Amino acid sequence: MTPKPRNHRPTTSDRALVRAIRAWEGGDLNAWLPRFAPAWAERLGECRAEAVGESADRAWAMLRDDHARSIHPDPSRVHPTWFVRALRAESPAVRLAVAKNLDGPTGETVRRAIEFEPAGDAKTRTADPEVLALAKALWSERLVGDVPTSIDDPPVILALTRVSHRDLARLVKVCGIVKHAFAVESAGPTEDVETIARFTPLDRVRFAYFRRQIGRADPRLRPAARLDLRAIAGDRRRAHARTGLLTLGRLLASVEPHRGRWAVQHLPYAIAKLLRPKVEPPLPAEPLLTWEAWVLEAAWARLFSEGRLASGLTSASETPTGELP
Amino acid sequence: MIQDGPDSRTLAPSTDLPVTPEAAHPLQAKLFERIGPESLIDVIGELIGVEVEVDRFEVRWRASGLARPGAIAQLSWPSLSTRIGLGIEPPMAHAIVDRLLGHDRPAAEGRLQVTPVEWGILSFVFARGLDRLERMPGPFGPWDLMLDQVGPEPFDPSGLGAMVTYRWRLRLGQASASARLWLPESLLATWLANSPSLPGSSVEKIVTGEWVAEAGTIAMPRGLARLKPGSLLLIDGSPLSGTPETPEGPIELVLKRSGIRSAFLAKAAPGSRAGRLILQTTLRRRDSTALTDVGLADDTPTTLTVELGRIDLPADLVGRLGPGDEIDLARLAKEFVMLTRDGQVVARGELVQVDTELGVRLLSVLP
Repeated sequence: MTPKPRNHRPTTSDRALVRAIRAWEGGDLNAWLPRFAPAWAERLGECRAEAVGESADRAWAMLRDDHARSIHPDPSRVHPTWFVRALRAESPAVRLAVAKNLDGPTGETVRRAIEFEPAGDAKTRTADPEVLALAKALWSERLVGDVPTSIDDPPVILALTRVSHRDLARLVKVCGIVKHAFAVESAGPTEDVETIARFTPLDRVRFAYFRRQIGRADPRLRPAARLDLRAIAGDRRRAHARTGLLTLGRLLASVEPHRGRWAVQHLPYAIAKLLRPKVEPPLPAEPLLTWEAWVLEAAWARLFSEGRLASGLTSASETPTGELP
Repeated sequence: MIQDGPDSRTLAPSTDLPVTPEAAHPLQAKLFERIGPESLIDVIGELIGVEVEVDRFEVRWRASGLARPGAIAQLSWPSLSTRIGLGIEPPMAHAIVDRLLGHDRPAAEGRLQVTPVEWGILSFVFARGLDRLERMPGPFGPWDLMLDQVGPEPFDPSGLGAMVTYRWRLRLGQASASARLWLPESLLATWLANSPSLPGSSVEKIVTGEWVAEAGTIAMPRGLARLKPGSLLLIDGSPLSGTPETPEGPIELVLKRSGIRSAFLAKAAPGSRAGRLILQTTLRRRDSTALTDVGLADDTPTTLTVELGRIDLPADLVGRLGPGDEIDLARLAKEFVMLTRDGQVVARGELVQVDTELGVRLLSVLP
């Protein structure tokens, strides 16, 4: 599966638009397509099937549900470190008021995240209700909500949002091993290779497997992979994980920005910062994306076949479905 | 601030208004008959069953972005080979979608970020606005506008030349927010220049631009290097006499746009320290031959303009202004005069009497 550039994948807003046409106009999408630029109309056509057979009332109800679910960030889908970061930007008074007065799971998450102790503020005055409402509404305004599932979510979004943190850490590390396998010509990890990253016995098996998978890939990929490995030089223990994060970072940059931002909130903030690649390999954008998508799918398929990931991407195939650039 | 003249002359933009040379744009045969977003506002009102109120309205002669973009529609206009943009701030985006979906949003949450679901629904609202427009007569020909994207991304004016921003304040229930329409200046100038019947509700409040009260020029044969605080500079040709409180002599109220210089000749109102001007003539236009010399070295000969003040004037007022009308520049009594080069302030000073003339004593020189 070759990843489509951002502009060619239907987005959450495209689906909402198609549904809105059904809800308020009865649903003859074709009559509305001329109102949109050709590339956009093509994307709308792709999500047409979802709304087929849906009554106007049902479409309206689904829009209403999606709207309600996406107005606020879902605390169960935001790593507590993002809340801590959001609160840190506020004044101590706002921090205290928010932590003390937030209801529901968000409140519990925040209090736990900032180690809030109620006894410490016994002497503080009661906040003005209007000001408190503003503080409670806006302290996390930079965090975004979105619908939890979208059938067009690319693998990188699935990885960040549907895989446990432990499995994601494993997946990211194996992405780094795949990338490492691109950087060398030998069949297995040589001594030279092991000076860059630490290999467990299982990693060596995986490395050899990926070397066989890669075969004779585009020779331009070797210097590109080496460049990525060099960028994280010096951290031998985490070399593969750091390299794997670059893969996720590049793929994330290619998805619809709001969706990407929503997805990245699932990660600890400190890890999310590492997603931003500091180097760009000498490859055009499209082959680079295709390559990174292959790396992620290859790692995912391998871990699934090892029984270390609970779900496969689209099938239980052991080999990635994509083709190497 | 501004007193209208005794008569009620009608606005005649094709002769009086400073229309830019872009009026010669190949698109000039086609005109706006009505500003499109009004139709869109009607559409929103129809959809949600509540009237959207337009609080305030003005035009800026530059691309002026939204403080907080909520939803920005970028549109192509194939038959005119141009693009326009329409944007609303988050509170209005939320208010429209919440009304459509029956969602009750606490007032404090009006500033929250707009979501993809909302962009989708607003895309439909924009598309419905276009649908309605297409059924209306359009002096520019078919309203064949097409949505390129709707989202938070700023409108991209690249390749469109100078831009004009149409700004409203909209109210919907408790929500109040700003909206913007971005148009290529050529499109609006064409409309202003050629429309046989300008819709008063739209054009009357158009701000034509920043008018500058000029009291003459000062030649600087050795460039700006000799510009020092405390220096006394005489205005070329000694145009001003009298006292700093009541300068006497010609002052021009000037608008320079795209090579055209439009000006009223005026004199300072007695005792106003040139804070109020009394117009002596109707509007005059001529090609501006001023050379742009921004960025010259400090020792390059240049000419500075003595500015007494600046003011935005609405189009309907410019059309009606004539001899005897008074313009208040809203200058404070001790406000500086500015020395400018190509519109850029290079120094500040004060009017002082030198024998029988008025000159400028420099108070500060800008780096």
